[in-house]
Amino acid sequence: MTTDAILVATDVVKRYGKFQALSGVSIRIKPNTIHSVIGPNGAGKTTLFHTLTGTVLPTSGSIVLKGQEVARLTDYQRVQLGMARSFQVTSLFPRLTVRENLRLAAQGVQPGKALAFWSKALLTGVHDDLIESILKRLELSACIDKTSSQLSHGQQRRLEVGMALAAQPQIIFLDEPTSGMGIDDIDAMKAIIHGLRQDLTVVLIEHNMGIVMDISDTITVMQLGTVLVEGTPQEVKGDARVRQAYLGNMITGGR
Amino acid sequence: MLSVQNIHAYYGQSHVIQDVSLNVGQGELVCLLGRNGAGKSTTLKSIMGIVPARRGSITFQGHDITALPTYRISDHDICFVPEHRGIFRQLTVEENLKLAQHKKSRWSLNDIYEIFPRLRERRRNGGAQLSGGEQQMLSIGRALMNSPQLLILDEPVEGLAPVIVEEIVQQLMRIKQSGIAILLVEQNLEVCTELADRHYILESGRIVYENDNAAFAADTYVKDKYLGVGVAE
Amino acid sequence: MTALLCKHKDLLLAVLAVLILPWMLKSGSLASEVLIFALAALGCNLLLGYAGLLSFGQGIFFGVGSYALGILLTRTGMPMPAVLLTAVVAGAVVAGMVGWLAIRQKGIYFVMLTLALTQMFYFIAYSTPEWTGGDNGLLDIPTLPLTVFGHTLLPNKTAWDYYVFVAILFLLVFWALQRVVDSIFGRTLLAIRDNPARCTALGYDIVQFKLLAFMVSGAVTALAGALYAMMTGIAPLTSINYHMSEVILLITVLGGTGNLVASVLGAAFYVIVSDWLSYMWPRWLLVFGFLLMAVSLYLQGGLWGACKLLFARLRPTAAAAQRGEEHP
Repeated sequence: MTTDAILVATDVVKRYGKFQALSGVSIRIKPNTIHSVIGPNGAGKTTLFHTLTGTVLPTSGSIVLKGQEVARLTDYQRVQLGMARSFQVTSLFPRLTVRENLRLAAQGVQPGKALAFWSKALLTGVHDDLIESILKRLELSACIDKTSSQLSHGQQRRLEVGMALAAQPQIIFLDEPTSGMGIDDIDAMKAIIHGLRQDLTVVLIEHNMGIVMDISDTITVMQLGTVLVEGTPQEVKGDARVRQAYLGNMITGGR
Repeated sequence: MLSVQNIHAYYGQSHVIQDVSLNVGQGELVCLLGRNGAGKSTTLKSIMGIVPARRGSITFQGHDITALPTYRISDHDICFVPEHRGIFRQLTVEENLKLAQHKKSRWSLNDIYEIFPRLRERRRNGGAQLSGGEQQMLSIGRALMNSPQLLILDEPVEGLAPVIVEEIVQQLMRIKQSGIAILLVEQNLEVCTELADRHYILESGRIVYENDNAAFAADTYVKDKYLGVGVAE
Repeated sequence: MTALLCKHKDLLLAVLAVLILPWMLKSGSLASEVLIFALAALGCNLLLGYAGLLSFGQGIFFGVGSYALGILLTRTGMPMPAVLLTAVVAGAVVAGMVGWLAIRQKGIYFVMLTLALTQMFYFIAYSTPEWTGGDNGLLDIPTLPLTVFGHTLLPNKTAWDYYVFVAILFLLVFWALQRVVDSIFGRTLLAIRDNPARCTALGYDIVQFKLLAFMVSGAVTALAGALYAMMTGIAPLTSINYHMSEVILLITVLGGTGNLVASVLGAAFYVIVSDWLSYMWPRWLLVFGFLLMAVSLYLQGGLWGACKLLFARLRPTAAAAQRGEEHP
């Protein structure tokens, strides 16, 4: 079993005008692990996600996916190389059915076929197996023909994850997958994410420490645009600097 | 003054606030703490009728405000200062403040300028030309112009520089001393322990802790468990 | 049989429209005008209703089609089918250029850019009289018969002859566009319109899709312009100006953007009503202004939307049965 990292980011910097959101972040993500990114407000977690997935291009720095430099590639290009993401604010196609949503997601990695402008033929059948297996995993099989706007909030958050899974990626980025969820949904989501580990690599932003500490293999703690600490859940829980970041006030200096 | 009893709130069918009770007494400053996603903002929005509570009751000075539309709730002299300020960018500082003015207000424009001297300096600046901290001060000042008896603040110092944070904390202290009750959601522990009389902690939509300031400040276990990254075994 | 009919109901409605027009209208050229503007509206509908692009540049493609046909027919001996094809290709190419410039901009900037480009093309047409006839336009464009290998298929001598010619082309294009919007490409366009951020995150190159939609739209609109020039015998400056863009958009919005048949409805309504009104009142455009406001405020599905509502009210059982069929 190789311990080569599937994704290596080195010195990633992101500036928005005069504001430096990321100041040289480096991170190594190992395959088939759950790697969580946590940190207090303003740490730059979501910005880091955006630069790693290509939603936003980094100002400088290197991002190597499976040995290939991807820092200057757009998000739709990185998807073709095995990366996928979900969004913190649910972003589905509200007027389309769950099946259609997933079909579009699955089609995304075959962009050439998406240009087929002459027949309906490819609209049915091709992705059915994939769609069914994803829905089963997410416990959404009963909803396959409902429009996504008819789903409950918890179901929509699960479908968000499903959209990323439909691209059959090797590495998946989940941005606060449990945000806004009620307690029962959260447990279900935790089990789902934990189960993903076997087939792919999961990078996770979460505030729910119950989830983060229980299922993560590695945790990166960020603060004010840099990496503070990286380690196993036990190491992070006991680290004084992490405690200071959350509880002391890093800005004014706390107790 | 404010009594929230056993409320439940939902986003669609997601049960996000479960059986929450809290109260704010006359002249008290009460802090609502918790990690991101715990439900603090949602609780405030329930009180203000933005995300109405489906079960339970909310009373203010004896009046039932549970199911009221937001503008009615503010008629009861409750003022809400949301996260991200919400000032009117096209108007000047003074215009922003004057909008909120009304005859029965015990706060005049000058009173506000006294508490927030920076606003007096910038009175003719447009809302968009202010720094983050100044915008926050304007937001609080505008709420005060409405002469509230209860001021509700959602993370007022988030993202602000330390010097400004200090300033705003002093200003909030003055406001508290003038007798206005304050319900504060904040993640900055320093600010909370300096200002608050009592604390509540929310986790996953439930109240998990309630105590006065002294006890809370001394309790490192609780802080680690609910506000930090959890307790090391 | 009924299943087959239902599957192709839009095409059948288009055929129906084509058959009804000569029965309703006395003038062959008015009927042709309806179909010509229906074509232009189809092109605009593809952009607005499916790709979510509000383009004020449709006049550019209409004008390019008109001028291309006019120039080729008056100066070369190219056979008519080849001329039409060239006009269509010219429309696609120009649309590609316009799209490439405009698509990268979002929202209001995209709209303004298409508007600016319309004015630019107008100015180019105005200042190159050796090509376009300038202010006068290109004159004496012949209406040629449709001949294949020496055999005359359609003489195109009378206005109704020409109507048959236009109708055949119209139905072909309608059928082709129907296939395009029902295809994966069409569905992806709809997804891009509804949530572009999600589409890029799923791996779609949005610019590429929008560009292709632009080129198809330009091709269809140019065909409309070419047919118009051949019918009227002139390719005037007004074919490429802002007002033409405006009229095409107006027709598309009035008809409704949910469906291709809506464009036929919109064109029929506009052409027939404006013809009728313009005899009675010099300020007839005012009526359309009010109509546009009414549609925007109360009837966002356009005339087609209104028809569907009416149908649902009058035949509630039929509508319910249809719904039953669609959602088992």
